[in-house]
Amino acid sequence: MQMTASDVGGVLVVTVMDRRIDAAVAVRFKDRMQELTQASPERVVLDLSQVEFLDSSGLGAVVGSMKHLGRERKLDLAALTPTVEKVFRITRMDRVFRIYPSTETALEAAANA
Amino acid sequence: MPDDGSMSGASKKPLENPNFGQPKLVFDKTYPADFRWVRRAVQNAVEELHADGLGEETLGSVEIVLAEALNNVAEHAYPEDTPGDMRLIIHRRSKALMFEIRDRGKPMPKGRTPIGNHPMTEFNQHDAMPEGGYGWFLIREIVSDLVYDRQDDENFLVIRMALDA
Repeated sequence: MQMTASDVGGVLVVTVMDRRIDAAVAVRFKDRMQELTQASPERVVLDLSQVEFLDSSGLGAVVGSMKHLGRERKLDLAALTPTVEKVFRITRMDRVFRIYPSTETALEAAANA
Repeated sequence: MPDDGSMSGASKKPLENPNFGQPKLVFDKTYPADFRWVRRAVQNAVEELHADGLGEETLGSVEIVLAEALNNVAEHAYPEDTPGDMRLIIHRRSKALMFEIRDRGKPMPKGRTPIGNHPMTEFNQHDAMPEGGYGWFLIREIVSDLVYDRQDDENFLVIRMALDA
């Protein structure tokens, strides 16, 4: 699972480089998220612009990552591609997560908050 | 299907409208039932349907439905120490896709497909938010019909997905 993390003005931006978060890699995604967000700042933005497909296992892993951050930290999502967006919309998880059209808009929203 | 006599004289122009009447077989492949092969199967099927002219929006729905249905076989059909195969067959009709998924594993619990309610209740707090159980919900939200049958130790899941005109 190729994922990178960088601190952008006090926000941790995690970018998934793989094209799919499916049942074959969901556990590794969750493990990698835990590694990367260890001692992360209060806000984490998950950049999904490279991810073309996510199934219910991938969705569960994103939910699990959010839960792992606890109540003190926040996981926002950015740049969902059409099929990934569809999965979030149908399951109504688009109401659970704050979703931004791009990482840039997610970071701007933080600056204005 | 009444149309078994495809070689009969009745079909004078068999290539003129392949979507009319008899469904067109677009895919029939067998894979080992595990998650890595589910990924391959889904990608192969999407490529084939893309070549057959389906649009991105429909292909996205196909990808979700097939991934969830095949993941279910990979996860539940066979015991871990006795892996088996799964077969995916796709027919295209003029206004629908028919997916047939077959395996020789265990029958579905209670002999039917799960109801597939949304796993989240409004009482769920942040910490209790379910991390699974969205699969059948996704399938049922997208497809038009879902039929499960079992004959001679083989499971058949037949899914019909309407195609927008």
